[in-house]
Amino acid sequence: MEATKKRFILKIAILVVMLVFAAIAGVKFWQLRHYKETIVLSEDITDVKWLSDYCPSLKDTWLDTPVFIADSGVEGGTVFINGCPHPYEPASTMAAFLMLENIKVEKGKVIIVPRANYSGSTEGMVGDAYPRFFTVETQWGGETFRIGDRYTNPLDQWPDPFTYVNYPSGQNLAYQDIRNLNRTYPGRENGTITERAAYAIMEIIRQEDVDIAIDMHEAEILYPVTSTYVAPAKVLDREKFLETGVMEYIEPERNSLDVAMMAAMNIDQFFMKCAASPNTLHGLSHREWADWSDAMTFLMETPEIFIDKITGPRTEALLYEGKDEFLQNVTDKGLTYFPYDMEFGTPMWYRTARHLSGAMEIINWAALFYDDVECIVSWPLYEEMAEIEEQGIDSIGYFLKNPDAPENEANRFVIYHKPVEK
Amino acid sequence: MRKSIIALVVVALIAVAVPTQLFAAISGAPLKQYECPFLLTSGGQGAGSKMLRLLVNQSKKFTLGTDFFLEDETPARYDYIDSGKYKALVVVMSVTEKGLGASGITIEDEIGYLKKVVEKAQAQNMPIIAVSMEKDARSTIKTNGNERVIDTICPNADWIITIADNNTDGRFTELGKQYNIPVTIIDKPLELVKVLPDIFVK
Repeated sequence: MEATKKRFILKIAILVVMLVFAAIAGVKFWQLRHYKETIVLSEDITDVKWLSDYCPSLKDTWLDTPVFIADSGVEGGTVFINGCPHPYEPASTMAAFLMLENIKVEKGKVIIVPRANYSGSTEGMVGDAYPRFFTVETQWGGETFRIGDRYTNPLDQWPDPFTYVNYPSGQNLAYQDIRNLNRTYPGRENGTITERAAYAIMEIIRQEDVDIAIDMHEAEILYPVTSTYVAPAKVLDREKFLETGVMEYIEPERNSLDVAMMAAMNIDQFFMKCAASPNTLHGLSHREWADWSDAMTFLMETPEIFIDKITGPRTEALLYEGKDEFLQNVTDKGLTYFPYDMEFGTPMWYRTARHLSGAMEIINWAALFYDDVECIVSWPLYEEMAEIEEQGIDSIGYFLKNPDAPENEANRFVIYHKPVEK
Repeated sequence: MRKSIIALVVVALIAVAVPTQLFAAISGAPLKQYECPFLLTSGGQGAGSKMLRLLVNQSKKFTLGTDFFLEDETPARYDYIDSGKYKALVVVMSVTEKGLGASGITIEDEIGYLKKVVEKAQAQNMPIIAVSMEKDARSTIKTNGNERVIDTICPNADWIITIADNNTDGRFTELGKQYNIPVTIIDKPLELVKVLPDIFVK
């Protein structure tokens, strides 16, 4: 009897300990899920819409997200910038935030989505031990941002199928890609929540008559398409496909690949190459945006060693500084696709600055090829940020504005999946 | 950005009046000359051949479809070579892992196609110009696709042109010595815009 009682007490004690662990973990998950980032919008932001304005069924879901518009009022090209399609590639988001806080538009219109897969930014990578947040050093202390996952949070879309079949190409993709925004284009108005977000982004491009659409990503340096522009050489003959179901590829009216190649050749501040979007690989922005709209489309990749699989511990320092001896060894053996130097690493400012200058290079070259898409815009660029870094100042923090400063009160914006009262 | 475009235009204007090689950052063997029309193709299905097509267009001296042609696909490029109309074959060597995988052909297939391209060009007495101008189109690993394409094309080339960054290990210089092929080194791909009119004569 005594032994039974002792066992019962032990079981209760173990249960209590487990519940304490679960509660601690639960609080951390809850914090990550509900953490709200605040930015200070540039005076040139003229309108804020939501993805649900372009696909109403996204309203009140975790895939809804703000869409910012900076319209100069002067006729010119329309540029669309997609940030955070894969939240675990955070330089994409930081570049979008720096654009939103510093943009000046003199001609044309710029549309920016800083957290395209909001849901995916509210969880960590399942099975990987890595930090939830990173902090940017600023003049007023620091600003904290989420890292996130590659996929839509399973809390918002579950279960995954055995195989994901992309619509309308019918191409089979990996099961988890049903929650991968950059495998679900052109999306479906009545599809999964991720497909609906993809559809809404397509609708932004179509309804706003976007001329230049840029998707910002990061990639492992063990992946061949790192440090690369990807753009299509040919586009789908939509009329023929809709009539017959046959996929044939034709010369586009405006050639994105030509623009990307000139941009890549002209950039000498950092290593950037160019790849043609394969006609037969579906669901990705650089293919489907071009196939299902009239925009010139570009995907940009920066080198993010944090998501390479053979690094040391995945710490905030690894994410922010990108210094890792294992990858240096692998690079020395010629196995990576980026001239990695551990002394310099691949710091966050460098990757963010690459996106800022990479996008600007595309916008400028597109205007040189095609007069009518000219958009005159400015935001911080690589050279400026590099100079600030040389002074020992965090250049991302330098260009961020203090959301708590009284003079920024009117332009504060909380990034969340629904409007937040000021 | 604007400054660099203006600088490019100024350089191009000056280049009209003065021999172009003086301004292009070129080293190694002097430029060679070939007649038009010439055929462009890819060695490895990378974007390099399209990049060179773009630079040929930028030179404003040649018309696609008359002075030069671009064909990366097999067997279409065999037919172009077999036609006997072309005075030179330009192979831009760069492998796309993404493209090869997605297109359903392997590097083995592409190497096989390129061997046949070389055979057919030789049968037509078409000189082969091997060009390496895309960033990262090299590897220190011998079995890498880019290196295999170089091994397939360069020994059969009449002339090798490479950007300096792709020859830091002297690979092309060595190949040139081994097979007695002139090797010309350019600093950047954009330099080609200035010298292409000196290379291809209409």
